Amino acid sequence: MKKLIKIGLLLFGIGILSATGTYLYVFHKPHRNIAKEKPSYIIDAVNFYDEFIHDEEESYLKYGDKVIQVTGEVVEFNLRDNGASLVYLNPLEGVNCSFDSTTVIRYNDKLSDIDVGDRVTVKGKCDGFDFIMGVVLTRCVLIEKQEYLSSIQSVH
Amino acid sequence: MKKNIILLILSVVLIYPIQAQKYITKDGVIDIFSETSFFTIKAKNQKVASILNVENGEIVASTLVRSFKFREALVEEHFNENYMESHLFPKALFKGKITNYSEIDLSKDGTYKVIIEGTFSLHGETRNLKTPCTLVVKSGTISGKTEFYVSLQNYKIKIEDQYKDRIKDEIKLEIHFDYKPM
Repeated sequence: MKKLIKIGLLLFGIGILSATGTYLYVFHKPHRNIAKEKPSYIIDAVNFYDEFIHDEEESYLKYGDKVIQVTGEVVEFNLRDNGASLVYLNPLEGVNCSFDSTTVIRYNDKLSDIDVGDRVTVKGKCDGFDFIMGVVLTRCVLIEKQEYLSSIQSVH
Repeated sequence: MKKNIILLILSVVLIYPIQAQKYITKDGVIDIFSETSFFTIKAKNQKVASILNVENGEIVASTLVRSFKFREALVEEHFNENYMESHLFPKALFKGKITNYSEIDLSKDGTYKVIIEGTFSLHGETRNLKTPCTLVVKSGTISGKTEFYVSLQNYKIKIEDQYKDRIKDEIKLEIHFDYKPM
C-alpha cells in the first residue's frame, strides 16, 4: 500500500514538473538575444543594399531572420521613447535599422550621441526588403560609433 | 508694381506648405490582437512604412512580417514558420485611396472621418479591404488611425484543427501612423 502511495506521489510529481516545463516552454521561452548572438554576416551597408537590389529573393534567403552586422554612414537618425531608428545610405530605400524601447532605455547615453554623418556599426535581425524603407533590420544593438571627423581622417 | 511683386512673393511663401503633396512615415505601428478563452495573442510591429498623397488621397502602406514582435518567443516562431510562412511571403502591402476625398481638405487643421478602400496583400493572397479611418491634421503633420479584422481563412492561413479553439479566425489589426511631409 505504502509502495502504491509512493508511486502515486512520484507520478504526481512528474506530472507537475512536466506541466510546469511545458508552461515555461510555451510562455517563457526566451527571445533571441541579438546582443549575444554571433553575426552570421559582417557587411558594409552599401554592399548589403546592393545585394538586395541585385537579387531580392536570393538575398532574403541568405540574410532573412539572420543576425547581420552592418557598418555605414548615418543619413537619418531618430530617437524616441518607444524606440529609435537609424538609416544608412538613403532616407528612402536605404538600410533601415530599428532599436527596441528596452535597448533605447539601456543605452540611451550612447544612442543619443549619434549624429547624421557618423560612421556606425550595428547588429540586428534582418526582416527583409521593403520598397519604402529598403533593407530592414530590427532589434538592433549598437556595436561601434566613429565621429564624423575621425571617420574622414581614418580614410585619408 | 512693387506691391504686386510683394504680393506674389507672399502668396508663394503662403502656398508653399500646402505644396508638400506627399506625407510619409517609416515608424508606423500595427498591433494585432486575438483572444479566446484559452489564449490571448498580442503582437506589435513598429516598422511599418506608409505614404499618403494629399493631392489625390492615395495611400500605400507596407511592412515586413518578421518585424512583428510577440511577448512569447515561441508564439512568434509559430506565427512566422507555420502560419504566415514568412520565409515564402515576407511582406504585407496595402494599396488604396480615400474614397470620400473630395469632401475633405487636408490642408486645414482638423479631424476628418474618411473611408479607405483598396487591396491588402498578405500570405501571397490579395483581397479587397474597406475601412473607416480617422485622420487628424495638426500643424503640418497628419496622423491616421484605423482598425479592422482580417479573416485568416480568407488569406489561406491555415490553423490546425486542434488549435481552432485557441486561435480565432478573425484577427484584429489596430493601425497608427504619424505622417510627416516628405
